Amino acid sequence: MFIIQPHYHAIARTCQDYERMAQSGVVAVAEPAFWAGFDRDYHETFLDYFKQISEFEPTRAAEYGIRHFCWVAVNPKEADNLELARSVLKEMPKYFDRPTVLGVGETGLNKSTQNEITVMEEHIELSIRYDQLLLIHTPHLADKLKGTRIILDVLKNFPKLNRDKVWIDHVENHTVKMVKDNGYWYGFTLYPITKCSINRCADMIEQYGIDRLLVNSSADWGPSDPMLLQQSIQELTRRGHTRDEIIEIYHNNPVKYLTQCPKFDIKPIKFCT
Amino acid sequence: MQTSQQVIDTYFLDMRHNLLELCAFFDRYDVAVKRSGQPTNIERYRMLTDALSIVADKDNPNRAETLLNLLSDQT
Repeated sequence: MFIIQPHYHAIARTCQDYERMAQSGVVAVAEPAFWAGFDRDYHETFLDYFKQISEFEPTRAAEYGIRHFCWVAVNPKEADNLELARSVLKEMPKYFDRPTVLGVGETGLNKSTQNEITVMEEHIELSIRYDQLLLIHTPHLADKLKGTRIILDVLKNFPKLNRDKVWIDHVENHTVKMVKDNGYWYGFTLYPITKCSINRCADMIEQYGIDRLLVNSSADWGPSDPMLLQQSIQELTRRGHTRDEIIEIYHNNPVKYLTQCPKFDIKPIKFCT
Repeated sequence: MQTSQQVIDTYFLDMRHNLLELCAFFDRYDVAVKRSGQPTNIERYRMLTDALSIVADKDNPNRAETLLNLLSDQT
């Protein structure tokens, strides 16, 4: 199996995770900029983080034969600090030219405050100005429904935005239809307890199909598991889904989306019997 | 797609486990309320008891979606 993990917080994980992923068929990961678990005080801390995910982490992944790509952004958890967010946004274009940076992400909303919305809008503007892919995080738990609606409303205000380049992540049963109907790429993020379970992921694949779907397991520093992607493949296999369909979901769909950034040079594959 | 028989055969033990955990949770809560003399977090407790009627609604083909909507901030 050849798996692309399009949303993976590698710096929070050990080399053993890379090893297990490589052994189970993962060929590439893409790491969006994330919250550190505490709110950072200095914009330089973000810049060092961008350096870590765009320079150092690809070398660590390469030890296991895995390609590592990344995204840069001020994540929504820290976007309420307008001054700090803007000082980081100002520096972000420097990173767009780096060989493994795919675009702007993950921006989006957490508690859907006005400052978060403003910072998300500024990320969207930046992605349009520099023609970057755009990865949008939807809020957690009780905040997801309202936040997703706001995100879709905000996106409507950007007529120049190419929807093919926008991926709205962490959708669940109650938000998948509204995101899909608006023409965006959408992600199911597999977690042991929160977000999407492997069974509900398979249910939604059967209900909504696989067009524009990006399955990922995020795997950050909290309770999470990079191997949930492999478990979801096992669940689909158990339900009788074909290997061709599984390759489309876990390899070729990420390729279709991510190759819109020419730096992502992995080709689609076909299973021959 | 699985047949209904396959769905039952595949997930029965998992769902048995989940239902048992649910019952044990409500038992645990009731014991705690009895011990302390007063219930707490009534709103979250009510959400969970409301969810039970969604689980039992055989006419709703989108129970997971309905449950997530129930658990969402509606403001």
